[in-house]
Amino acid sequence: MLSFNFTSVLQIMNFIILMVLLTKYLYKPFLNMMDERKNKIASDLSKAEEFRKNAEVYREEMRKELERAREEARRIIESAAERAKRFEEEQKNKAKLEAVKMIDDAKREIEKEREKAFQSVRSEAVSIAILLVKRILGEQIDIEVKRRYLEDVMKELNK
Amino acid sequence: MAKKRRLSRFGWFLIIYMVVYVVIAYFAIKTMEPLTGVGNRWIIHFGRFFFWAVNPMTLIMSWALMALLIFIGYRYKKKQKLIPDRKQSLIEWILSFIYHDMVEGAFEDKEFARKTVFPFAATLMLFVTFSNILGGIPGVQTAVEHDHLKSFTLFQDTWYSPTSDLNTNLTYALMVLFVAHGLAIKRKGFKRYLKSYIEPFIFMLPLNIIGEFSKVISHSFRLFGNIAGGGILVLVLSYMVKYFILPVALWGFFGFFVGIVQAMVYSMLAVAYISVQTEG
Amino acid sequence: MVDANLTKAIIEGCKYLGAGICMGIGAIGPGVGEGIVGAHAMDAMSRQPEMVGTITRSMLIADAVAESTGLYSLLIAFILIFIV
Repeated sequence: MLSFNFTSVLQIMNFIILMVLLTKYLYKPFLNMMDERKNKIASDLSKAEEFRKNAEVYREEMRKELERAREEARRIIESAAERAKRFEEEQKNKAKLEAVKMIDDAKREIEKEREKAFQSVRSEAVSIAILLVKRILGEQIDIEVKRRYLEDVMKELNK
Repeated sequence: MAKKRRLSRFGWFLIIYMVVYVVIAYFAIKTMEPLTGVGNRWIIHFGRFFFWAVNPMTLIMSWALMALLIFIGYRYKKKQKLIPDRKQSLIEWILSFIYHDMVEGAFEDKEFARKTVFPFAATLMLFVTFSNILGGIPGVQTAVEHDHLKSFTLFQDTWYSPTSDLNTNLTYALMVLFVAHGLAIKRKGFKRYLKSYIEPFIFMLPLNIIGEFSKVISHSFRLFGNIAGGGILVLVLSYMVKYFILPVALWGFFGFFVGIVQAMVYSMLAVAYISVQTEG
Repeated sequence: MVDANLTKAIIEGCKYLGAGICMGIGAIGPGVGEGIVGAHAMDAMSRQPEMVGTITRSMLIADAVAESTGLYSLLIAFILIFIV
């Protein structure tokens, strides 16, 4: 059980062989892989940071652009609204003028009609009066004189 | 999510192993003989002097382990990927435990730790761990009478682990001693190395020398005592209970738990000895 | 001369007696040592519960080192019983 013999020499040889082979197959690839992974993660992180910064810049630019576009749109809308308002005002004024004119025309027309009616009524009345006077007085008075007289009376009446 | 899981080849191997174990152990228990020759080893002498002899079982199991480890390494190198799969991440977890938790913190010079100490400590750790774990798996065992092979017995004990042979442990402990001192001379220079023996004052010289050798003794006998003593304890206890269930728990405890802890202690102490010599 | 059988019996008896004494006395030291390690580990865990994993690992390793003298005596007991 406690025998110490030539096996020990062979075990040392085994150990050295194992160490050499495992260094070749296991440890070197492992350490290289660790380094590679570390480098990759570091480079990825720095790249991501760079991208983030770029994105920040782009976003700022975008924000400005958007602001500008919004300003533009607001201005356009405002001017359009103003124009629309002005147009409306114009239309309204025009319509009002039109209406006033139309009313005036109508009034004038009515006035004229009335005048005409009066005129005809008056002349009718005069003729009727003459006719009446002629009937009553007979053909004694000169018609012309009477007419002038009656007309004077009518004018008097009209006033 | 019901994922259909197919047994791997290793799973089938384990099942067949267990079935064969149960069947053979049944007949073995029926024809069980009294326990004799516990702790005797099969030794082949080829000379008159006691040194001219070998323990064949130690060598066979060592070679098997070496073949296994080299096969794993070969597969690892061949199938290495940046994004690891399960097996690769297991291997990398073990290696990064050895590198980051055991080796890297003990040395100032990271390049030295990486190029020189890490392969040494990792090989020690892997070999000792795997050979300790062999002491927790039932397998072929030799029955011995007066150093001569009497018969092979199957599944009456665990596999023979190379670390339960003092040759392996003492040799590796001596190797750690020589490596530590050699690296110390190489890194510190011969004068500073010699000066470290008379560090506080000159009377400490014999104590320092004895301390160095007692390190070897305690280093090697700790592992030897754990694995060989645990093996014998398990064998005797399993014989007493006629291999009734208890051996499974004992194999698990002595083979896997104690084995892994002792392998860790062994390689950690090796790293600590090297670090004390080279950094001090 | 002493009877050969008697000598053999005495040797047998002394083997087992030696093994028992070896194991019994040898187990004192590791027991005390592991107790101290465990107590201090518990102390440290209660003080820093977030370090439980690291402390447990260190405790197991310290236990394994403290156990070694006990295992030397176990080994010697086995040698006395089975080999001598």
